[in-house]
Amino acid sequence: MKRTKILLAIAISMIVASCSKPSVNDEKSPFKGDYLVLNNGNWKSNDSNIAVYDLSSKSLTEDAFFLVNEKNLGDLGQDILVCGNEIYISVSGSRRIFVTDLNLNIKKEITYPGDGNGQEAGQQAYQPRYMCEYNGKVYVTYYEGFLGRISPEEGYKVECTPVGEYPEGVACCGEKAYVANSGGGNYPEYGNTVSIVDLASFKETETFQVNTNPEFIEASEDGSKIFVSSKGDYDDIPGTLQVVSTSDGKVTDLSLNNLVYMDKGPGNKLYLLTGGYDSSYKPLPGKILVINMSDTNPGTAEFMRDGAEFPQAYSLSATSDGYVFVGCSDYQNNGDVYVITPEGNKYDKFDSMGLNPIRVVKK
Amino acid sequence: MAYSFGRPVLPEGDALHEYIRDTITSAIVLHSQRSDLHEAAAVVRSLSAAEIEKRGYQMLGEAVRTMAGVSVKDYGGIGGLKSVSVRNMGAAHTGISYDGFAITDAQNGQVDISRFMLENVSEVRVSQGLPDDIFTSARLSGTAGVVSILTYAGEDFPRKEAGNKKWMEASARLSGSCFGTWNPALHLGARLTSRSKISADANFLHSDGSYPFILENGKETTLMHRLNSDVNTFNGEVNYSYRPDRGDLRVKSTYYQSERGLPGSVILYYQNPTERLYDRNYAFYAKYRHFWSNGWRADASASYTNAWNRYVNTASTAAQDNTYLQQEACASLVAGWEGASARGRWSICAAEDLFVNILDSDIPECPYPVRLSSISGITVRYSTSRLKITGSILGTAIKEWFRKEISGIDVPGNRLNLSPSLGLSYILTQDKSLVIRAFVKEGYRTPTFNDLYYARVGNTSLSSEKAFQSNLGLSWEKYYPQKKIGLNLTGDIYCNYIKDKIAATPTLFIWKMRNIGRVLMAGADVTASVHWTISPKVKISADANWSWQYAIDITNPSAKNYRHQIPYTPRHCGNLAVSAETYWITVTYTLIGVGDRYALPQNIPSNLIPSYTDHSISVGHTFPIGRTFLRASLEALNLSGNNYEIIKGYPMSGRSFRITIKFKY
Repeated sequence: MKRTKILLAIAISMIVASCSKPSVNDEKSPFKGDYLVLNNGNWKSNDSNIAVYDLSSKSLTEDAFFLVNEKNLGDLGQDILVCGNEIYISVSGSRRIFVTDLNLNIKKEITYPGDGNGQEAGQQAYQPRYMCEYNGKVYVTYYEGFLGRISPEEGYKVECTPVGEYPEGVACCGEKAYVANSGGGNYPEYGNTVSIVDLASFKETETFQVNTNPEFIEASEDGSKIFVSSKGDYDDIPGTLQVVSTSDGKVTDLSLNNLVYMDKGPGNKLYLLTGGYDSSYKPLPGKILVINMSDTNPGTAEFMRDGAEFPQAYSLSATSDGYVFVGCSDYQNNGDVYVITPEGNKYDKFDSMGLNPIRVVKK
Repeated sequence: MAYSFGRPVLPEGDALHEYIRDTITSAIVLHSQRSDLHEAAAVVRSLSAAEIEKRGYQMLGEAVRTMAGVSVKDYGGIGGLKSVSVRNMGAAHTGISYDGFAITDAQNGQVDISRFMLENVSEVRVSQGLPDDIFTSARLSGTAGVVSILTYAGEDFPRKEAGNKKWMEASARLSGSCFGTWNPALHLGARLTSRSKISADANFLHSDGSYPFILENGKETTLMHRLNSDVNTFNGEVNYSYRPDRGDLRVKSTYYQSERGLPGSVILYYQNPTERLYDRNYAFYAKYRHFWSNGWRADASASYTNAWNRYVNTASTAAQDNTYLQQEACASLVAGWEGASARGRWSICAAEDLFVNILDSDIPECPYPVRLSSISGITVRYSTSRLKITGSILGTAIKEWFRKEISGIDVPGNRLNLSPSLGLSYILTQDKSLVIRAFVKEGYRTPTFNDLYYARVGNTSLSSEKAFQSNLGLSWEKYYPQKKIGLNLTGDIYCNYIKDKIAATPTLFIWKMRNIGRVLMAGADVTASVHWTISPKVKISADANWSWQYAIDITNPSAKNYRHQIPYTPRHCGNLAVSAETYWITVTYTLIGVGDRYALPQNIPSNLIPSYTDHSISVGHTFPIGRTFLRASLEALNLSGNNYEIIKGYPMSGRSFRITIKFKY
């Protein structure tokens, strides 16, 4: 992907060159449906899987990745990303990124560093976490403290650059990548910074401070703001949502203490999922809130028409067509996924056929 | 060899003949004349040293996993962690007794039994319900099940039989097996005076542990090796016993040290285990028992345990290097009286255990807890020639305090628990061959230090987990002297209920321990054994057991696992051991069969751990060489070579062989 130095050209390329609408695939699909449901699975259990949901018939094909490839995804599928005609699946415990076509046929298995072929290879490989796409390249955080850049047109070559400790979410805008340095493995000394990586030099140029234990990052469409969610230290410091101006670095706290998950949907909308438990282990309401990211002073509004709450809310995904999927989990049984229309009405609920439904994308 | 049970009078013979006869008769004694097991209200399973030797077991885990109603969680390999659970109540509800002393782990609640070798063990017992010997320490009476390891240390050695002038004994053993495993062991014992003796044991074990296994991933099958599975273990102990008139003093000191890699579960596409565990443990135990002529008796004992361990993880994203030191000091008194009235016998026993547990650890948020526990019990038994009724009540009081202030962690409140139990057995037939038994018992497990304080996950407001047990069973046994056949059949049905089960549950992002679970269990254990002495030189025996268990989670009616079988609990499992003992050679075949289990609470195919069978054969013979014996044996383990899993992601080793040579004087 060509880089230009002109802001306008960037904006255009973002719209045009980024994940363009996939062409209809000629290959017969072994499953019906456009929505890929990634189940994170149980730690060290190799039980991560992908189910495929068909919106019109409200039906689910379970374990579709296995069905197609006759092998398992592995341990802890963390993130799934549709990029053009390809799907990227980061599998954190198995330290591998699978690149497949839209029918989930494996095209490439990426481990970095090291060779991803063979079961015992890749001993030094890093744990890929969250991904985003920008200008035709895929950016991925590695829990070992790196931001990786995958170039599909160069044989899926991976470059890595150091960022902060235990990075989680990543978002790109304005030729920059923003990485949430959670410091999650440094308990009780969590991180509280976001790294800015200049994409031209692919080097971290600066960091700025946010709330303790930042997790997800989303950028507004015009790149003027980024939204950072944080989990706090699970003790005195609560988690929150902060909005950061990319021009002057000003950080504004939106005070959302029981935020579980967030995802960016079409129309510059940011969907938030609240929930969890309070200090005496009482469940807090799992609600969906929505923020218009283009507002100068963004405020939250309830998304569900009927104000519905979701028990054991675990994840939220806003797909490219405006549907919202809420994954619910008790961490020991298969999860439930609620399907919500772009208008905020409950459409369906299905068993995710896997543990901890972490992400839903539309291919 | 000496055995802990009554030894019948043997005809004179040459040494080898006597040795074999001893082995043979001990097994008959075990199954036909062990009135204490047959007539007990409790369900007691037992394996004698002779059985253990015959089957070639060398580690406690190998032996107890074949006993009815007992399961061992085994993470594979020689050094793999192993914990034992009775009727799947959980390892924390299972007490471990070593020569009558309780072995505990206040931090984890479950004892890793991989350290216990069977070298000097005279008998392994697993009992559920009230102990038949009511003069038992209070803390062992409180658990749902007890695994007792009895060694020769407390035996009458050397034999006091006429003409035996032997004043010392010695044995040396060397075992070698696949995957670079070496296990030398040494035992020395000597009579100091006619009333006292001393013995010492040393046992070293090394294993590379890098065994091959087949990893199946859909259409791909890969031959891999277990990594980071090596272990070095040293066990040593010194025992002293002194028997004055009407008394019995036993002093025991043990030392255990090990270093091992933790291979971890097999992760698809990535093998790089980085955890290691170091243990160093020493303990002193002393017990004195005295009998008075008027029926009174008393045991006084004291012990001190110092258990240090270090856990190291060198993974860059999970780096950890922490040490834990647990200390326990315990004083115990058991006093009682036995006497006969016109109609029957009365036994009364009062027991008190007072112990203190201390944990020091450099993990963050360790409040350096101190726990003072008092367990008091009163047991009363009334018995006639046919009937035995035993009732007991145990009271537990626990107080804790911290030696370090940690913000956000409160000292847990004092605990008080009462657990009553009642046991009954009745001999139904004139010849004592058929006995009916029943018990009900309420047990509990105190939250462990990890449950209460472990970083982020611990919860100091936990209460004790309760376990209610009930059992009804029949035991039938008969010895046919003309045919020299001993038969034994037992059948028990039981119903258990666990409430306030301590389990980790998710809160906002992190997990917290809570008293949340409820489990209902119904089950049956059936055992059968036949021991047939065909001729003085040939004996055949077969022992079989089968267990059925319906153990369901009834915590939350709206959860998807409501009324599903709890994890790691097969509906069916069984064991078979068939031996042919001859003057020339002893051959034993053992079979373990375990049905389908689930790794997670929901009973769905993706959580299934398939059933397995494990076939093993042991061949051994003892040669007399002058006044010494040489025993050579060969075991072929897991003959089918299937890398079955007991714990998901932890394949067991396939076919392997073990050769053992033992000198005995």
